[in-house]
Amino acid sequence: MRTRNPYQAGTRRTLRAALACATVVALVAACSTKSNGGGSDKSNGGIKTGPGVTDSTITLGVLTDLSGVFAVLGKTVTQGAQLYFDKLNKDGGICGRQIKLLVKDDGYDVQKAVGLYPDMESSVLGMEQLLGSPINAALKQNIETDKMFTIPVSWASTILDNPNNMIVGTTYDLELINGISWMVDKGMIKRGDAVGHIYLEGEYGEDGYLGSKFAAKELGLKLVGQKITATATDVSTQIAALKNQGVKAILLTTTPTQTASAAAVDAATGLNVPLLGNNPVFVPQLLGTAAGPALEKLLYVAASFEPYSGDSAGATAARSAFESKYPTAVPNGGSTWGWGGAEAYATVLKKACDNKDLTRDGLQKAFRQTTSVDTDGILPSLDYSNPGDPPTREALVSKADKSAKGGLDVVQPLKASDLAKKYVAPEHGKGG
Amino acid sequence: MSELLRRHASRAVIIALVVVLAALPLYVGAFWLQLGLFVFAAAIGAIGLNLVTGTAGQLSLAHAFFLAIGAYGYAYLSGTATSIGGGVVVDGRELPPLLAAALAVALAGLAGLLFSPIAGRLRGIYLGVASLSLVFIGQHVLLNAKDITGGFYGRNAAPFQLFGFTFTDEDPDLTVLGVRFGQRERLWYLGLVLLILCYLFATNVLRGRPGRALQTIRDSEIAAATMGVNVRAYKAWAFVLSSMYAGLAGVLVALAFQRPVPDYFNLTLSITYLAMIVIGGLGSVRGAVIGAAFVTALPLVLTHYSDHLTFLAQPGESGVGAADFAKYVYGGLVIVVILVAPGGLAGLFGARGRQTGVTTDQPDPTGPSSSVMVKEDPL
Repeated sequence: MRTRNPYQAGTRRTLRAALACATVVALVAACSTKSNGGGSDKSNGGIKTGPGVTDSTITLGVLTDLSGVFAVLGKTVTQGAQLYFDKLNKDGGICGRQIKLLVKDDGYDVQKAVGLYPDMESSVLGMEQLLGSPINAALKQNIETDKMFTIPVSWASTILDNPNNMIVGTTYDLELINGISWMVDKGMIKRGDAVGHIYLEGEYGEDGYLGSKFAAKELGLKLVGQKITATATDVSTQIAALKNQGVKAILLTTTPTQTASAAAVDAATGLNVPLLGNNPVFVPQLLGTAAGPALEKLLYVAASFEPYSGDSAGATAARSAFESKYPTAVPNGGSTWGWGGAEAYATVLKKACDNKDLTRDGLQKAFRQTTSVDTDGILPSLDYSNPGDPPTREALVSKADKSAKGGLDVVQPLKASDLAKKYVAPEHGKGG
Repeated sequence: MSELLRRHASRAVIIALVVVLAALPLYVGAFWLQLGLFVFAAAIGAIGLNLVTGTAGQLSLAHAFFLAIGAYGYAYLSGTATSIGGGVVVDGRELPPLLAAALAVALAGLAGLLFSPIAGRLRGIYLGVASLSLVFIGQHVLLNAKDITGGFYGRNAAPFQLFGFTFTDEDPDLTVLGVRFGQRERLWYLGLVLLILCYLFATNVLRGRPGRALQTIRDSEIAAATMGVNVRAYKAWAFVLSSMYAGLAGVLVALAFQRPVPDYFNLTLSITYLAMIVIGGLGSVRGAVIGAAFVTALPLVLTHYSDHLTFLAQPGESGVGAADFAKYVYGGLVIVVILVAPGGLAGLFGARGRQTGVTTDQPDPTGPSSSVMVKEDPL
C-alpha cells in the first residue's frame, strides 16, 4: 500500500503557497506607484520652490511635546506661533502664500521623534519648532542631510555651530553672565563672595555653567558648582552643601520642580540668599505650590525674551491674541516666545521670497543674510550673519510675582552687560 | 490530523507574512519603513528578554543597558575620531561595520557574563532590583564617557556595510522595480533577515534541552536541580544570551537612529521591553515579536493618523490628544491582557496550538506552571 507522508505534502503545499504569494507580489510590485523621496525643487512663476511649498501655501513642521514632561511649554509655544501665523495669513501671508503648520506630538520621546520625522521631512519646507535637547541631538544628522532650517526650542551655545539652527534669543551662558552682572550692580554680591550654582547634567546645565564660570573668573567670585540629574526632585543636600560654603547667591540651571525645591529649602533653612535662574527654570504654576511665597521673595529669572506680562508692542499683541483665543488657559512666557520665534522665521521666509528662492538652500542663504529681526520688543534685534556667534547678547531680568500675568515681572529691561559683550562664544567662528 | 493541519496553516501564515514584509519597501513610504526598523530592533530585543524573563522566569530590568552597549559599542568600534560640537571629540576604532557589529554583540554578551554571577544567585524581584542598578550606572557612563559615547549629544553611527554594499542612500545607487532603494529600504531588509535568524535560533533553543531546562527552572528550581539541571549555570547562560540579543537590537537601533542619544536608553526603555513580552505572551517567541510590534507601532501610528481621528484633540487644542490616547490604549491593554489573556496576544492568535509535543514555547495560561510563575513574579 502506498502511503503518503502528510507532513511532506504539507510542506510542499506551503512552499507552493509561498511561491504563489511571491509571484503575485512581484507582479503587483511591477506597477508600484510609490513616489521617491520628498518633493524636489521646482520653479514656479519665477520663484524657485522646495518641498512643502505650493502656489498657495508654505507648510512648516512643528515637532513638539504636547503630552510629555515639557507639554506646558510645548503647547503655549505652538499656540503662540500659530497665532502669529494666523495674523500674518490674514495680512496676505508670504509671497502670496498662506503659512500652514504641520504639528506632530512626540511626547518628548526620542524614538517617537525619530519615527515621526521622515514623514514630516517630505512635506515641509523647514521646521518652525523642534523641542527637546535629546531630540535635537538625535535628529542632528537628519537635519544636516536634509538641510532642514530649524528653530530649536533650546538656547544652548553648543548648537550654534549648526548652520540649520536658528536660536531665537541669547544663549544660557549669556543669560547668566548678564544676570550675574546685574546682581553685582545691585550690590547683591561683591568681589570675593562665594556663589553657588546648581546645574543639570547635559547640554542645558553645562552651557549655563560655562557662563557662570566665565563671570565668576572675571568678577572675582568664588563659584561652587553642584551638578544634579534631571530626575532629581529634591535639592536640599545641594543647598546644605552650598550653605556650608557660605554662598551669597545661588544660580540655577534646573527644571521648574527643582527650582521650587531650591527656593523652599533656601527659605526654610534660613539661608535666604537670592536665586538667579535661566529662562526654563520657571513656570507660573510653581507660584500656586507651597514654595510660592519663597519663590516670590527670592527668585529672579534671566531671559532674552519678554515674559507674558511684557509691555512692548510685540508682547502686548501676542498677549491680546492669546487671551481672545484661549480665555481660560493658564498663560506663560512660551506663547510670547513662540510668537517672536514665528516672527523671526517669517523674517527669513520674506528674505527668501525677495531672493525668489523658497527652497531649503534658499532659506539657508536668506538666514545668513538676516542681520536684524524686529519682533516689536519681544526680543532684542537678532543678527544671524555671524555663524557660531549668538544672535544677540542682551538679556533681561524678571522677578517671580504672583500679581503679574504669567507670574513674572521685569525688573531690568533687555541689555547686554559689559561682561556679556566681552564673552567669546564656545563655537565662535564655526559652522559657516 | 487537525493538529497537523493547524501547524501547516500557521506555518503558511508565517511564510506569507515574511513574503509580504519583503515586498513592503516597494510600496510604503519613509514613515512605515522607519517604523518597521524600530519594530525589527524591538522584536529582536524582546525575544532576548523573553528568554530570560518569560522562559526562565528571571525578572531583568537591565535590558536598556545591554541595548546601549550594543548601540555605542557599534558606534565606537566602527566610528572615526570626529568633533561633534560642544567641544567634544569622539574617538573611534574604524573597524569594518560587520566586524564592529559582531564585536558589539559580543561585548553586550560579555557584560551579561560579568553580571551573571549576580544573575545566577538572585531571582524574582531581587534580580529585578539588582539589574535596575545597571541602567543607572549605564546612564552615568553614557553621559560622562564623552570620547566613546559623545556624552549628552550622542554620536553618529557609521552606516552598515556588507561586502562592499553600503546601507545608505547611494553607493551603489539601487533601483528595484522602479523604486529607488535608499537607506531605510536597505536597512529594512537587514532588519528583517536578522529578525528571522534570531527568531529561528530562539525557537530552536527553546524547543531543545536548554529550553526545557529553563522552563523547569522557572517552575521550580528544586525540581530542576533534582533532574540534574545545573540551575546556576543555566540562569547565567540565559542572561548572557539575552544580553547578546539586546546588543544586536542596540546595533539596529543605532543604525535606525543614525545618531543614538543616551536619553533613549533609560529605565522607561527597560519597562517598555517588559511590557512587550507581557502583552505578547510570556515565554512565547512569537508573542515577543507580536508584543514588540504592538507596543512600538501603536503610539507612532496613532500620532501619524491623528489628523484623521476626529474624536481626538488636534495639536494645540485642549482635550485628549493622540499621544494621550495612545497611552490610555496601551495602559488599558496591559491590564486587559493580564486579566483575560495571561497567554498574551500570541495566545489570542492561536499559538496555543503548539503546546503539544516538545514545542512548549508558551506557558499554559490555565496550567499550574504559569500560576506558580505569576505568584513568583508579579510583573
